[in-house]
Amino acid sequence: MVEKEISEEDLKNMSAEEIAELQKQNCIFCKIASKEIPAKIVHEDSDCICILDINPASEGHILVFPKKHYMIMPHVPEDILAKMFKNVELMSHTLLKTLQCRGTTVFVANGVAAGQRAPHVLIHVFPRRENDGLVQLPKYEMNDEQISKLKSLLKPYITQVFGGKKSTIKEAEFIEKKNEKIEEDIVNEEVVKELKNDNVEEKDLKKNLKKKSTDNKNNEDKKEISKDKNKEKKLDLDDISRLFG
Amino acid sequence: MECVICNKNFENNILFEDDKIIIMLAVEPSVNGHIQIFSREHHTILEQVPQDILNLMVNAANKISIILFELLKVHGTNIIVNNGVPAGQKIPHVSIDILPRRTEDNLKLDWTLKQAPPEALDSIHRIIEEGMSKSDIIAVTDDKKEEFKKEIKEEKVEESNDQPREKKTNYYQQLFERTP
Ligand SMILES: [Zn+2]
Repeated sequence: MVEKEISEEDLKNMSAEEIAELQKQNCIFCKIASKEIPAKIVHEDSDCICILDINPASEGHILVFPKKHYMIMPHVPEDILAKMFKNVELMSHTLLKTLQCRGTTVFVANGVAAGQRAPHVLIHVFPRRENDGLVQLPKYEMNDEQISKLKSLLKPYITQVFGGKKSTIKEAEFIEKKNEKIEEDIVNEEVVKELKNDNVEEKDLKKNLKKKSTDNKNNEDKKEISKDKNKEKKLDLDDISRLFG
Repeated sequence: MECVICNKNFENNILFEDDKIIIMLAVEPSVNGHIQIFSREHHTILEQVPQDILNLMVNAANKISIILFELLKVHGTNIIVNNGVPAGQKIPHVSIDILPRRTEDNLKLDWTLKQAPPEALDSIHRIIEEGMSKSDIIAVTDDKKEEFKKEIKEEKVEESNDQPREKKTNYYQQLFERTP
């Protein structure tokens, strides 16, 4: 197979688009959606498909995913996301009604650091039983100072993004603000390093965010990548090559 | 209403709120930067949330993810809904949790991959398909959600009347029972 001849060195020299295209061509979940690879399909509509996970966290574990290839949840357009969660709800409801379980967990991992194992966004929906030991959320102690620091960092920004008292979220404004903020960050950090091998995911994310923004910001893609992404980048590349191998 | 969210017991944690959703620092954080999105209206579990509100919540979850990527420079996020007390739901008011993740955070949330025997998958598949062929499952409409809400309320009344638990037919009720 051609894919196996691609070394990590080759990957490093590829553009984000080329890597994304490679991922898509080799994506198991795209192949399941197109029925090239068989799966236990539980439900599907025009945009989403729900299958049984062959490596279940618990009996009845279902994967809900878009038929189109998106790497992480923030990439998924609103209308598709709405359909995905309609399916999630349906699956949770079905599991509660048909299996002997006492709850469900809905779980999404965005990025390898969060436990993402395939480069196609998946929503896990699985039955929960008493003391099953799954998805244990530990308690993280925070002192008042930490809390107020976090709040003062997040609140002004979230207030802007979610736009005052109205429930309609102004996407365009959100993106504008986002770009301004990114530039601010770069200035603040006083380090504008050009990374040759930008993190794919991060780059994609930024590109997605910029879609509706002005075109003249194109050249800034590289500058926007912050310096502390080296670790993630490496992990991503490892992950990609592992998926191809 | 005894709900700690509806009661605003954690008003200091609120980052944003409008007439549909509330975004706040997690009441019981699992990591620094842990955020929760609640519906303004009281809904106990996912299946009761009207479609338009759920859409606002999941969109907010996506935007919060991006904000965490940007502001906290994290390497990933987990989006989690724990539906029912046995699933780890701590507050009986539905929420979407967003956890920022870093490669070195030592948080172990995922499970060990273990392939299920094909026969086991086949049999679960049959059970689920059979269940789904029943019309009351396929249509999770907003009308249906209203019914679920009523069902839960009725169950609570029933419970206070000291009726034996075995008689309960509503499976939603058991989502909120802790085993002693
Ligand atoms: Zn795919």
